[in-house]
Amino acid sequence: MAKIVSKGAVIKQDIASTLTAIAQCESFGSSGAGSESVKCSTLDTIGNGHEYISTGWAEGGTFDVTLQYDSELAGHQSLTDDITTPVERNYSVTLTGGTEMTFTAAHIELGFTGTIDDIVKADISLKLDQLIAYTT
Amino acid sequence: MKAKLIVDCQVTTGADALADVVVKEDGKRWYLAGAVIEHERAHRLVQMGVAEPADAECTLTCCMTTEQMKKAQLHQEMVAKGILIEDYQRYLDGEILGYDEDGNDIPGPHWPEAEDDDEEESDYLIEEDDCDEQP
Repeated sequence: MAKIVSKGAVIKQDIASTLTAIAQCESFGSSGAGSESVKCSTLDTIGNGHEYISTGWAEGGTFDVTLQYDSELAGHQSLTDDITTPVERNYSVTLTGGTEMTFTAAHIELGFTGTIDDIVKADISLKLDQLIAYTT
Repeated sequence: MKAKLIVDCQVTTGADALADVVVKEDGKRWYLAGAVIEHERAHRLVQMGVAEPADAECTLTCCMTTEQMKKAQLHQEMVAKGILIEDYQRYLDGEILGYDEDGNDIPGPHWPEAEDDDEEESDYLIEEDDCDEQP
């Protein structure tokens, strides 16, 4: 079984129809993705357990990335462009072993954090339109 | 506006402009260096260090000196390889070329390990001499 390391992970953004590296990822993670179901218990339901049925839909969740922030870098300006001019955009996170997670973000949230003994970090949260392109 | 790529760039999903596009060994579509991209955000490619202006509009929108473009190109080279910021100087000094798939350093032309090996060897020889001198 392959061990996939995170060191050297890069986030790429769709810029003028190319996927261009914009920053190194300090950390990254996907959350909230999953298939959806609906509760469908009725008086005919046997036992106390609720019944659920798949809706046939899936939620893409969000993809979160933390990076060292530098407002002078064009790559980081390209992220804030999407706050001032909201647009749906393609992204990918690429690892050194060649693993790539590709997705489309419907919107972006970007915040900063700074502490006296650390450099300024940017926390980005990307809301997925549909799903990550999972390997199948 | 237009920008001319100076490095190969991966084509984004759903892009319909397929001129100058090739499929590489990784199975992905790439624009090759030299391809001219016409797009309203083409200036960002120049600012990111992957292209140079290909028309007056792009030149004016980028508003960068040649020196600034070279700096952006060098930075982009390091970002694209995933070089950690604390390793920038080691990359610039030629100590590392990047990281392998296990996250280990890929030695560059000025990788310091060879010098360390020489030192270890000489230390070993000194110890051997010391042993000989003992009664």
